[in-house]
Amino acid sequence: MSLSTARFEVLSFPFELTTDDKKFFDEFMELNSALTLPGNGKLPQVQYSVIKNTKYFCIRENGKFRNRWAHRWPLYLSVMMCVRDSLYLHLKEYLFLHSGALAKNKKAVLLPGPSGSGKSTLTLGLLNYGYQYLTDEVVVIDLAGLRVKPFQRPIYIYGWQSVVSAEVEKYFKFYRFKERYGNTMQPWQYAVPQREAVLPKDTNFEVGWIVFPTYNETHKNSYLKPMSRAEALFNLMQNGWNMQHFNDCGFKVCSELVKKAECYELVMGDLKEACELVEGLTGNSPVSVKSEVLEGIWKRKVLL
Amino acid sequence: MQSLKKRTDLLVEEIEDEVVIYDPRTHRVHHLNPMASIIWELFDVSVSPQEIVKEIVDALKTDSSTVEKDVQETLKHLQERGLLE
Repeated sequence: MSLSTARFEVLSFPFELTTDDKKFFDEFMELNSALTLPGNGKLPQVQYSVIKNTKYFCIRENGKFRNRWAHRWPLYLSVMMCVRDSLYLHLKEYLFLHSGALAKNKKAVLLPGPSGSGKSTLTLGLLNYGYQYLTDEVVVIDLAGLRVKPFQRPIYIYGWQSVVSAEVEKYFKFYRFKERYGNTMQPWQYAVPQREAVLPKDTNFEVGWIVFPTYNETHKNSYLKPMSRAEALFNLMQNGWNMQHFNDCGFKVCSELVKKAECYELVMGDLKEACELVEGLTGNSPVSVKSEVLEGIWKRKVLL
Repeated sequence: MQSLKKRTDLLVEEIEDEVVIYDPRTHRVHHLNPMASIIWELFDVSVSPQEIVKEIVDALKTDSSTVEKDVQETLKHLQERGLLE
């Protein structure tokens, strides 16, 4: 059995990955190239392994079994979810929020929401409007300055539709695959930021807007509704990944964020319309986007 | 009800006429609507529920029975959620 091992860093958190599957190893490096840095000599705080037996790829963390998958595609996400959980546990200088985020003109738009709220698809859609990609799932708030740091993991969305224009496709590489959910095989894709879309690790952004998206397939249109800052604070607190480690500090941080930002609820039926509404908030002249790129997105039922 | 007090260890943010309360014991967050926020602000050791009702009725020039019901329900909710002791 030939093992491949590499050391990485995410947000200065060092970890090690060992696997006997060369294809997984190469693709893991490729998919996470925007998020991870090569290890810089620090001893890894956590060691992960992905070892294939006769039927499954088994993920272990410091030797302890975490998960297993029959195929490679869910492995990438699953390993990074283990890493993400370690970040929450070990890094006390950041507040992590369950949220997408993009930046424009040095200000960030946060899109907090639970799984299925449409934040990843909205994040991808907004790339067409000149926003910089920060994250689709894990917003990192640096407690020192209450600013957002990039966490550019691969964007993971349902379906194989092309949500971005040909211009944006130059900066993202798409990996399309099918994964079994129950008795059906369903199409998913990873959108991986390429070098041109990768932000320097010391970049950070002030939060300008907090928009809570809700995907509603019964709605034909999309609309924005101002949200009181108190309600936004309440909702933001529901979307903390590591809030339990901070006690009152997490509450104070979220309180400061909502006081600085404009807060809205975005009910989404139509993606293009939703993107234009968010774009309109920034107060800049709208960017022309070919409508066919975003049309027909979400005209399907997610079977999860 | 009159002997109840607001818990002193709660973190309270008043933002634009609404109150958000963080309970460090349970890590739960509570969002009070504008009326409940007024009641929360008026609720103090020196103020009885009846006095809260009177203050609100005087200020809003509204029906006392509705306010009385709101105050009772709000205080009941606050108590049930462990925000009063």
